[in-house]
Amino acid sequence: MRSLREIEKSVAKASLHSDDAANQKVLNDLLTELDQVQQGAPNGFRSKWSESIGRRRLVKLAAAAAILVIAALLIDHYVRPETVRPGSELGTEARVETVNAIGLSLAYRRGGMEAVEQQYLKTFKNSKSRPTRLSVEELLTELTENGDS
Amino acid sequence: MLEDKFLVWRMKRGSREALCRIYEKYRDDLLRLAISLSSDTTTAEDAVQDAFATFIRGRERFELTGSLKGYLATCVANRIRNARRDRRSHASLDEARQMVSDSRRPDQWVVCSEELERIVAALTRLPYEQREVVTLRLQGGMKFREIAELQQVPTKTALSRYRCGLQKVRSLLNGEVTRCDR
Repeated sequence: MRSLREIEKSVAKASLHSDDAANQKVLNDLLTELDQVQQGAPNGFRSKWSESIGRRRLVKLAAAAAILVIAALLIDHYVRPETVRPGSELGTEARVETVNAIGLSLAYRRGGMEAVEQQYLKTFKNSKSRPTRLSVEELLTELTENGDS
Repeated sequence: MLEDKFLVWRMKRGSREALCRIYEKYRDDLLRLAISLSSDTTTAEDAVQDAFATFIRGRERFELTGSLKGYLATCVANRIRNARRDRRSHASLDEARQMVSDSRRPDQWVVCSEELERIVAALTRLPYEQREVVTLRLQGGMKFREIAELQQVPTKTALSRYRCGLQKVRSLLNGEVTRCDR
């Protein structure tokens, strides 16, 4: 009397013999089939990349994210109203004007020429551009020396 | 599993070695499964060869989600079903038993052991759904959920068919007789 476990094992592992010549013949037929399929669509695998994207979940998500980013960039570029871009010529000029018109005036009222100098350097530091002219302090020194002489 | 994924990946790129390896790895298991399902070596040989050929033809669209053996076993099971439907065969038990043992041809691919012949004879006495569950579970290594999907029944039904079928096979192989036709 065999147990259920033994029956399961017997059914799963009952042996059979497959003829070597027949095995080889079938395998050759299958390899021929593979070659034919391969020749029939030489670039089939690559040409169906879009189909492949459609099937793989991760690739699908990545493609969707890429499309969204591109769309956002395009909208940002074409739809957003024109603003002053940092580093542009217009931006630098605007900052210089601001310094001239308001900043320097307020700084002078607050702390005299020293405050003007600080404001002047801070503004150019923020705009990441270097003043091509002399600093206020240097100008004052020069003027003082000229006055003394 | 990982090896199968790699083999499939290579075969999709046209590797002959990968196909040879897959064939060598699963050939005998699939032949055993097909013989157990069909009780006919000729039908079994055709079903296995056809399953491999279909696998090759559809390799570009093929995505391995479960086990490769399970996939191939499902292919074989579907082909056996189709062959049964086509033949509309209602061979008697004796005829079925004879088919396995006496229909040997000179160019025959498969020769069953005596044990396998006894098992196939016992399986032939089961209702086909039970035979399919027992065979796919034990010889195809499939999960009950997968078998249930194939048979389009709830998993519990597949499990019940398995228990009932296996009990009957045990009784038959042990020389007893039970009745369980669900």
